[in-house]
Amino acid sequence: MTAPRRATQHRNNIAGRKREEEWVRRLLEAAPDAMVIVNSKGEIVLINAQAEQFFGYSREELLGQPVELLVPERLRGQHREYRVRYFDAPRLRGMGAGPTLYGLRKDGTELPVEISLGPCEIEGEILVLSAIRDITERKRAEEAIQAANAELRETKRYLASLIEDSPDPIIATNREGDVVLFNRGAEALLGFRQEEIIGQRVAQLYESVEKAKEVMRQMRKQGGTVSSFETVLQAKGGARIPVLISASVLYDEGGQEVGTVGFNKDLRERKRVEEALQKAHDELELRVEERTAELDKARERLQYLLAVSPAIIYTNKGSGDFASTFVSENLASIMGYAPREMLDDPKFWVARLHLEDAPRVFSVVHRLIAQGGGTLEYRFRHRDEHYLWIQDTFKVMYDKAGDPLEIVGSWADITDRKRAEEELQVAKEAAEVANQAKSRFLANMSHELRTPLNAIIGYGEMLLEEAEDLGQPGFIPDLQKIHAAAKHLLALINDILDLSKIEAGKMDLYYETFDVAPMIQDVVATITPLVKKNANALEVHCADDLGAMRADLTKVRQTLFNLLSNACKFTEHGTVTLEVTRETGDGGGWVTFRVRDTGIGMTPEQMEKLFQEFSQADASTTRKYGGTGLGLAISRKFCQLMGGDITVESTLGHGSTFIIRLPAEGLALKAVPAPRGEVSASSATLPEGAPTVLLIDDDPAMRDLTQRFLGKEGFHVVIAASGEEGLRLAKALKPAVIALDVLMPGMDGWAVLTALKADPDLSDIPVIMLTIVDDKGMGYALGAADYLTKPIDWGRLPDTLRKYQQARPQCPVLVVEDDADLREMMRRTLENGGWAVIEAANGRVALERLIEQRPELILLDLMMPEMDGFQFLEEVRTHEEWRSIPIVVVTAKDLTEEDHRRLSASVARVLQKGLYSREEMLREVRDLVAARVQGIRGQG
Amino acid sequence: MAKILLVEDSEMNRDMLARRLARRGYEVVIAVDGAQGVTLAQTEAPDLILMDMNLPVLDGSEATRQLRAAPATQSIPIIALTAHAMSGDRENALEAGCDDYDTKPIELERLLGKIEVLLKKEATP
Repeated sequence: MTAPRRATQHRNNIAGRKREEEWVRRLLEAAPDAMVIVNSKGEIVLINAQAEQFFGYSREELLGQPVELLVPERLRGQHREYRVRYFDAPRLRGMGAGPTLYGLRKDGTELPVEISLGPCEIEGEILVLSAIRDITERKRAEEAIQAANAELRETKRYLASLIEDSPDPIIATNREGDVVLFNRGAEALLGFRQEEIIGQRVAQLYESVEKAKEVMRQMRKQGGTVSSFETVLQAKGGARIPVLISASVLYDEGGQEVGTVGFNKDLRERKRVEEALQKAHDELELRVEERTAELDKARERLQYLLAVSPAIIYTNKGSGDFASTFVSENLASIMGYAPREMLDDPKFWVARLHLEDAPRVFSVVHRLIAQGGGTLEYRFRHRDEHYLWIQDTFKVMYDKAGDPLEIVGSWADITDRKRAEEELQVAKEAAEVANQAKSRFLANMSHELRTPLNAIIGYGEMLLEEAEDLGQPGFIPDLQKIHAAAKHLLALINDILDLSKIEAGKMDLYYETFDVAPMIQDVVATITPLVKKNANALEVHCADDLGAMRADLTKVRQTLFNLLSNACKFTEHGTVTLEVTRETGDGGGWVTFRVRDTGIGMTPEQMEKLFQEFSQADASTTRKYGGTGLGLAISRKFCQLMGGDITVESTLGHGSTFIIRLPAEGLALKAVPAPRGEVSASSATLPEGAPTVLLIDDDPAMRDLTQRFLGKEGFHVVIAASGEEGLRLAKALKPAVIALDVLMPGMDGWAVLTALKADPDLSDIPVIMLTIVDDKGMGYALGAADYLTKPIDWGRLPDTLRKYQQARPQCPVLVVEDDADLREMMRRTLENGGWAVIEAANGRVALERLIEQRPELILLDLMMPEMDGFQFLEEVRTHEEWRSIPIVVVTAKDLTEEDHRRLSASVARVLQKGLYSREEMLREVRDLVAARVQGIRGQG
Repeated sequence: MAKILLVEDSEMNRDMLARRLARRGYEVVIAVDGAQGVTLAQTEAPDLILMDMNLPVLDGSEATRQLRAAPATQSIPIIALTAHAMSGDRENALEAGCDDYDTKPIELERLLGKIEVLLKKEATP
């Protein structure tokens, strides 16, 4: 080569190199990667801008620096080794084979990089050009893919096991219908092992091929899925298993059908539950049906009853303001009002009550409501303005809390009944009047009949006497017949008269005390001729202790004569026995007369008719034996008037026994007729100390009647016309008894009673309610002593008053008791009961008290100091005037037989201490004293 | 023989009783009403009076009362003759001052017994 040429060449070389350098630089700059050129010493000789940016160093900082500066420290040694080795055989290749390379940036961060190495010879020097690419993004993407793949694998595994292990039976097939999946649930359901089934036709798992086809048809019809379709599979061994199948056709990515998958749900349990449910449901349905039928029937029944009921049915509010909530339709037919009228008007009921009945109704209706129900009778206005009598029966219904919920009731139209009652009452009164008129007529008639009869009898007797005197015996038998017939007629008339007097209540009793034995002798003497007539024998047995009795002598005699003459009439050649005894029984002494015969006797039928008027045992008897047929009826009525009776015992063919039983003490159960105008007794004529009765009644007629009647009965009657006046008089007079009407204007009887019982001064006065309001419970609750309903039973009133009339102060009770506390207790009890009390601590003191004042009754302890009860009794017995005082022994002593014997003679009653109640003692005292007072009255 | 004043308005009864008493030997004076009875009792001074209770002008009990009030007649025994039917008669008679009574129709023997008792009592004061 020539110099110039060389020079030129050199120039050309230099120029060429510069161009080359420039070219390389541009090339470097244009490269997308960071470029670093390193010489064989490992120094950086050239970098591009991308490298500057990538590593964060400026070009000046890097040039001449070892390339390891850009390598993380942990890799630098290795890098150096690789670099040296590379320079031994430089070629173009990528750096590193497996592990990721990292570049170290100025700020110390590392970035994953990919490096390509290439040798180049510049000016004879071997240099290495590394192209460095940031692979951070690629790295991240790769990692993500890896993670996704792992997750996918995991999911796949999970899903597979899910399917495989699922207890829900899952079966999948391929396009040909061969089973490709048969999980554990399917194994459990159908009993086949996976190995037995995979590759088999799925249709054979169904109960029938048809069932399998049905599922497929269903699936195709619904676009490849079937959801909860009910079908039946067949398990290994043939058992049919109802399932719900949900299945889908599976497609590949290209939309080609690859098979099916089906989920099966075992329906056996559900079926069982369903069946049980269905059964329960059916049963329930049945029961509901039955119940509905019952309800329908009940409703039908109720509706029918409401429709046909003669009574109106209603319900009211429980508040008791009488506003109605329901009323049956028959309101219209019975009362003329539309039900609406009643329901819309809260004052419907109140406004239509009869004005005269309203006060009575209002005085009780609230109380009845409070009691839970009751019955009322009142008049109620019909739409046509006339009044109906209504019986209102109602009941209060309560809620669970016990508050009144509503009132249910009925209104029955009892107008007809009331009218019938009134008519009956009128008829009864008319009948009574007629009966009295009849009796009066009979009495008058008898009297009129008797006058000519007297003449017949009288002149007959005279003619008999004359015939004897004049020596004309031929007339005598005829005259005797006339006389006897007239006498018989007289007897008949007398009997009729007696009966009519009894019926008219005019038969008076004339009580006298007589010895029984002489009376019997008298009767026997009279009857003897009759006894002999039929050849009978008369036996008379009189007890020794007959003593005296108190009765109407004439009537006792007449009765005995009647029974004895009957016995004689109906007995022939037999024995008539009269037996007289005295006994102490209920309510005092009794005298019993037994008339026994050995005659023809009677049948039970005959005995039944025996005591009826105008009825002998039978008609033939009358013909055979004669008589009026009135004797027994009259005799029995006499005995009943005297408080006794006649009874009969008889056997046909074996004679009869008639038993007369009469009270020895003459306790007449006299039927007291309603007082009449002629009854008059002013209190002025009453004896000193007559008990005062305060009568509180607003009805003047009732007041007058009661006053006159009680005046006649020996009561001093003071009258109050109103409750207020009554209270004032009660305070002023302290009457023995108060008789109190309930229904009064202003202050009514209940209010008066309450006020009386609230006043300590008056509370002890017994109050007897006289009222038409039959509400004994109310009366007794408020403290009434007794309760008589109007119309007043006039026979009961005086006895009731006497029962409660208090001891007169001059006749107190003597309490003989050594225990001061007990004595005090008895005194207080007795005083509260209205008795005055004298106290004595022993028998000796008691005798002193007896001398000072005669008590009405003695309460006697037995065990006392100084003089005990037995000694005291002996002392009392020696005094004639004390013997009649009733003595009640109150003792704690266990009485011996001997004690009882000693006491029974003189003691009326023995009360065991601690065994009797306060009420019992008071009652005992009251009864004994009342009996005594009555005895005294009876004698006077 | 004893003198008996019979006061009775019924003619038949009067005739019958008067004749029968006369047959028994009594001297019988007759009055037909109460007023006449009182007058005759004073003028005739009978030993005993039979007095019907139902009399016109002056009835038996009132007549008896007047007789008992007058000194001349007050001690004459009087037997009332009462009607069985008239239940108040007996009381009225005894209350007015009669000594005894007998019920019509008269049973002669019974009445005679009562008459004898009273006459005997009268005779032995």
